[in-house]
Amino acid sequence: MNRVGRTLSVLVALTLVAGCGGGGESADGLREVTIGLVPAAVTAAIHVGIDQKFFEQEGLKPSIETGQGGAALLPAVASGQMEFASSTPVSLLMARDRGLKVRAITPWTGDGTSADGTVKSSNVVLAKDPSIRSARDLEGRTVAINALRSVGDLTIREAVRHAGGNPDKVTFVEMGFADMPGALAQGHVDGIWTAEPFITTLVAKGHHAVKQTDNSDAVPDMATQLIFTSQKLIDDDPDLVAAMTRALGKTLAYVKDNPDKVRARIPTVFAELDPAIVKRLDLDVYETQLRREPLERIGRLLELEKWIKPPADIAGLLP
Amino acid sequence: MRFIRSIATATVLPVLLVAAWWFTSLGSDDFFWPPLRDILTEVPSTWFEGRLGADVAPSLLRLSAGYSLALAIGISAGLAIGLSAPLRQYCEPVFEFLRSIPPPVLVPIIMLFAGIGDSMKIVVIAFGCVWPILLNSVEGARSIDEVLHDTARVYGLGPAARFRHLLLRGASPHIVTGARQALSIAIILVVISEMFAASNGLGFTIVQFQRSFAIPQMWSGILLLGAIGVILALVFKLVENRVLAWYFGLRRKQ
Amino acid sequence: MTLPPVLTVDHVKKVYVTGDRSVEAVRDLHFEVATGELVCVVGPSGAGKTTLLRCIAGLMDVTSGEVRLEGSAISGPPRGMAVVFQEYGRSLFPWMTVRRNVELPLKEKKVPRERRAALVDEALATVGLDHVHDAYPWQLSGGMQQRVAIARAVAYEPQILLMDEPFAAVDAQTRADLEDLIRRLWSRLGVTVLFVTHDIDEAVYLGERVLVLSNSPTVVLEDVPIDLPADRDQLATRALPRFAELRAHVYGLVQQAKRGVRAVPADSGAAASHSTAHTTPHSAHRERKSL
Repeated sequence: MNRVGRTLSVLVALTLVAGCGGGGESADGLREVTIGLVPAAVTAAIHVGIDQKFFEQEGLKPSIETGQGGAALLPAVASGQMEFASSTPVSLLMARDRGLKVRAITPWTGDGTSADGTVKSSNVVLAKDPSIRSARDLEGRTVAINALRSVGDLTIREAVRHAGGNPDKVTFVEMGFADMPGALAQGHVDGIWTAEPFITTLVAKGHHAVKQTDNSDAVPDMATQLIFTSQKLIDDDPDLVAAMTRALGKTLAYVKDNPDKVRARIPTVFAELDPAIVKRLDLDVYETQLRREPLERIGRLLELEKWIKPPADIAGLLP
Repeated sequence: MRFIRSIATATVLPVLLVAAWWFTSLGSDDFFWPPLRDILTEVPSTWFEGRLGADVAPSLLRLSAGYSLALAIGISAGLAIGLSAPLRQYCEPVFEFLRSIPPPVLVPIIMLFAGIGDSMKIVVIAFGCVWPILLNSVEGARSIDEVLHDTARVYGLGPAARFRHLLLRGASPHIVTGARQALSIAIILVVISEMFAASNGLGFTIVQFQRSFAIPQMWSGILLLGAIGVILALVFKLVENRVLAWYFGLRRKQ
Repeated sequence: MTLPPVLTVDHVKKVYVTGDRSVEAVRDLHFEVATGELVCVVGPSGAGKTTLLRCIAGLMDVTSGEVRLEGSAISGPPRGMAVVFQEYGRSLFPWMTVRRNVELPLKEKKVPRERRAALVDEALATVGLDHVHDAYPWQLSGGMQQRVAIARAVAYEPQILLMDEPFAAVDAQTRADLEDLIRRLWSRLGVTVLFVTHDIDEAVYLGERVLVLSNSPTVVLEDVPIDLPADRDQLATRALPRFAELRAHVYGLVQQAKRGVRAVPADSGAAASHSTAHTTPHSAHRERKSL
């Protein structure tokens, strides 16, 4: 994703006076609210929820904002520009550590256990050099991740540590997911922390997954994204937050059982996506339960890395 | 006296702005808009305990390497092209095309051949900076008086002397204009290039602060970046006043 | 009696070709300049004076014929030639001090540092500019700037000094001073001068010979020897009846040239041939008094 844009949008967000959101009432008497999501195919789930009138039943008329990158969503929610957004538990815990009053209301996506019992992982380290077999072999190597000080380096460092290696000997560099395969092919990096659809393509080209580097190795049942709001909104308008929590809950439960509805909705939100990829996409990623254990695990890793001051504010983050 | 007055004139607005920032932000409890006092308190521990060497120095080195590369290529190619009308006609459409590509867009492509290390960042900076220098050097070479060219030929000035004493100096008012534009581009591109595949640098650090919600530290980085920009502009002005003393004198005379 | 020529302009022809149009600027120019001569070239405007000078200076290729400096044909600006251009403001390097302007060609000639310093000092003293070494050209008046250009040419120690209407852009008083400066330089340093001008008075006052050019395409209409005393004075020389005669003769030739006359009947050179005080370049050289 565009890092320049991210930085700029943060600056824009900072210069805009807080509180220009708030939402109004639409002609049909529904409350207009904005949900900020990272641009991805999974956003189609909200449209399915709207189709099923889960939001209307709660008196809500959501609009989805994917224009801003992930890093801009936290400031946008904190400043009241939008009511709800998704973010990673890593970012949310770090934000709480710094005193930003944000609180999760529902889960969103995760590396949950699928219906057939196999663990679905969204990210793994791929390498080209056959001598890099397990996490420990990453010592002295360079690994590309999409953002530094986030899920990627947190879980990979844990994987290396767990395998008996020294995580400080791994160099992490930041680049967009789309730039990673090129950098790996050119030998600029030794490993890339990537996800579908890149994994399938790259494995077909002879690259291999590095053992023990699944997210689920470091954090079982990892929640990749949570839906959150600001403490201010919870205090000022608890009914709105409760209504949104119920509507999202119904939506998540529904899409978990009806992945085909989501798949059918993807082309309307992501017109440019290749239909062949849409057909292959793993949509078994929606979480219905906001579990405490993975968050505590992440909190412990953050403390270990000294990215936050202990203790991690799990209670403050959970609803 | 005039010197003191010009210093006063130059500083009055910044002082007012800083004062306005200081007082309006004094009671701020907005997470992303901390009081200036808090930001300034963070400056010593954020920057003077190792980061000057670990992050600021690499940024400045990349900046000077990229900027120097752009100067060397831009001036030499620009002067050569400026001297030859046919060459100019061949090159101009290509230059207009290349200069309108924003360098950040090229970063992924540059990364493919220049790797992800310092050379990539230097190439990105040089690519962005080279155009104003090059195009102004072309103009500069064109602007040199025919009679001076004749004089140089008549008095047997060799290629080296002609480059140094005629082309470079004759085109220098234009070159300096281009170099000044390029300097601000260079500062922007240092920051942008450090957002890609970096592991140190000022731009990198500011983004890391932003991402880990260290907001006062982030602001202190932005302030530091601005201060570096001001210092570089001052240094540039000093060099310009020296190199173009003749030109300013000539213009006053006319 | 005759010294070998420093400069030979041997049937030079110049045709400008632009696209499929060609313009004949110079048809057939043929003359010589002997060592130590001061030759003026005069002609109506549009006589190809500048073309001629650029061809001689090697700044422009000739279409046919050749220019020889001390017997060898030139291609490009030769070493032993210095040029003073009309546009003094544009021929000095504005980013160099007066001293550096004069010195630069000597550096390029690899003149040793001490000799260089001596030459520059001397040249600037000769043109009366020993007080402005460190000034920039644009800080000086027009006449002073042209003096710098002359000093640069003199310090270069050329075998021949070409001057292209050097005083056309200065005021009358300065012009008279500069004319006398040229006469002084010529007689003191013995430098050979080819002086192009459109001013008939100036040509007669300065020259030992005046070449009158025809209209374009140019030929030499007449080579007029100037038999005035070597010691010239702005008032006394210009008051001489012989000066008036020569001036009238050259004036008549220029008028003919303007009308398009390309060849002069053999007897029309009367004004010059009647002269009893005919002075060869050589003898002029000898009679020269030091200043």
